[in-house]
Amino acid sequence: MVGELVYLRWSHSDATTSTARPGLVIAGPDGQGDLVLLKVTGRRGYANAVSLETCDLARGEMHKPSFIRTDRFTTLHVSQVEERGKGVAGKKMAEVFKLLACRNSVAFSGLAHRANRPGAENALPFEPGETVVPYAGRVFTEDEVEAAVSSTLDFWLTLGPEGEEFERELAKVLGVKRSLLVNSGSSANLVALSALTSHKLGEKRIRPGDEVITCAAGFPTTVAPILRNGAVPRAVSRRTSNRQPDAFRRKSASSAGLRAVARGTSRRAPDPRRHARRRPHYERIDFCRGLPRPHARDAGLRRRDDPRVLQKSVSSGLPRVNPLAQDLEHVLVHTQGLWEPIRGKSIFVTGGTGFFGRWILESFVRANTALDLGAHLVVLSRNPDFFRQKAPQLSGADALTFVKGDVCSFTASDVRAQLPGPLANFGFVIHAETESGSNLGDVNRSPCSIRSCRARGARSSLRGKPVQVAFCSSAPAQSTDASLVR
Amino acid sequence: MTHISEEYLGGPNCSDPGSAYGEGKRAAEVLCACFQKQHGLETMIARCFAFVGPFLPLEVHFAIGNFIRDALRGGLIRVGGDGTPFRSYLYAADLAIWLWTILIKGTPARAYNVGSTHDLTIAELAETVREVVNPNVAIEIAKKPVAGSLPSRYVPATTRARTELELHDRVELKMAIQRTAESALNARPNA
Repeated sequence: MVGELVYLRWSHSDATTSTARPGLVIAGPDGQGDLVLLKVTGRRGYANAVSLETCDLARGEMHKPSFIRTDRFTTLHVSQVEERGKGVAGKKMAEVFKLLACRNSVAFSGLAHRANRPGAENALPFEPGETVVPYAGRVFTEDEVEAAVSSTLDFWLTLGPEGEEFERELAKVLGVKRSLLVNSGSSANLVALSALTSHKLGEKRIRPGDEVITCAAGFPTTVAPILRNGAVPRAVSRRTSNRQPDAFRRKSASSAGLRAVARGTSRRAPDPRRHARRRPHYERIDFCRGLPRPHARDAGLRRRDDPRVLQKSVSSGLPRVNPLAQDLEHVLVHTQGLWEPIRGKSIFVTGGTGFFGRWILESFVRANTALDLGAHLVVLSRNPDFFRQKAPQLSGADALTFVKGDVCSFTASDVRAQLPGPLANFGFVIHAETESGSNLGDVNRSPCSIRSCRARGARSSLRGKPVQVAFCSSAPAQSTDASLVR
Repeated sequence: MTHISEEYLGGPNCSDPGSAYGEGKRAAEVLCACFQKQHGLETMIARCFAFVGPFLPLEVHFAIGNFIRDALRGGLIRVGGDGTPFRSYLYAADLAIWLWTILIKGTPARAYNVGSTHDLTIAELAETVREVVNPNVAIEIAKKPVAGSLPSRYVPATTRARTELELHDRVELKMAIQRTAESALNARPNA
């Protein structure tokens, strides 16, 4: 009988008189023939009431609009039903059941979640050894629980109309153009930090190898997005005396490739904008994991020292950490004791800007710096300007000099003309150039030019009187043809 | 013979235009030897095989670069041939170690193979790239292997470098692929 609209004797509160009134069956009849019903009334204005019209009926019709009161229950025996014949449609019944579930959720949350509501009227007093203190601020009220239950009942588990409404409201509260909902604070961190790598930020953006200062006691998912984007996290703790991040007090940090700063969020932490005046191109971009409580904002208070608020500042024009650091360390470890013969020497490199060349240059700069070799690499390139754009940090290295020239046609005097005297006296030559950048079987590339370029390139490099030459030959100098191999 | 040694005397077909690259290198090695004899110029020769690592161009004719590019794009890893040729890859940081060591400690006019001895087929390589970079992509092999034909091999024997210069293949292939892919991901326009 669930969903039937019936007339029955409804006892008055004095339990002596009764009236025939409509009621909606929401459960039963059970084994004893008992029904659970909600009172239906023609009067408007009751809280927790659901409207009922003819269009909401599956059977029968309403003479006038009525209201189902979801907070007026009665239990009666099925024999007391005086009139049947009307049935409420499933959709309206679902609305009634949803309202019941939500109201019960509010009642449940009011009792079960008191620990998550510090300062609320019905909050439990703190008892040492008894009261559980949540490790982080999961602060919510019955409203949130009710909204969550409501969404669950709709089974709209992804971003829907309510989420979009929330985005609009939040943007309004924060005074920003728009806000974007993600599934968790960790995702928000990832999205926010990744957004800071956008090319739209130009020079301000975070690039691989940049340093991002973050708090030492941060959540792991604060650090993970930094690593994910190829940047290098630098954890700092705050001084307990003045609550300023140590990094701001250490010159070494500011000179070690500092690019982004997670401010310690203390009001008294130095404002990165002050640094902006001292450092050109210093830009501050903020994002946060927590919001100030509305009442604090309304009272015109300053943003509280919420430890979850993370502020990032981005600067540029400072030296950056090499993303190859780990690989170059590997090279250094496994070339221990090797480098002495090149100390103070000048080395000429062809093909220094390709795949091989980049590694030769990078590993040389690392060893030269680490071991203070005082050696110098002179790099032949057809287009040094293009390489400067491609590898700005390398082209800025003191131990590298780029000379313009083509490996097939350059002469020793060309090179000498571009160099100060001592550098042109090469102790070593590395000939790593090759004309293989495109498909070797491509008929548009002349095989003759490939062959003669290799041979002539080698000859050009061999002229002059260096001490030692490394020639990067390759296996095709033998054979790659299996039929010949076997 | 599975691994080509420095002693192997076979050569490319010298009347095939496709051998220009190899013949160019052979001519250059001869020049190196001549300059040494005539002028006393000490020339170290590194015979380089196949490599992988950051800065490897992903768009040109290197299979491993193409596979990493395909996996990063998330579509399909396309194997152009039948997947049977054997290759091996040395990681670029190891390559740097080998090249500097050969230049500084090598014996002049003595060629050293540079590469990895850990061989695998192109099909296995595509599978390894898939596993490391993006397990969600599929692999498409363009051609069917021809029954009875011997698979081609481009894999060095590196005994000389290992015994004379103590050079080793230290970074394993999966790690090498991972670092190459990460580096490609991190490369930004104008970066």
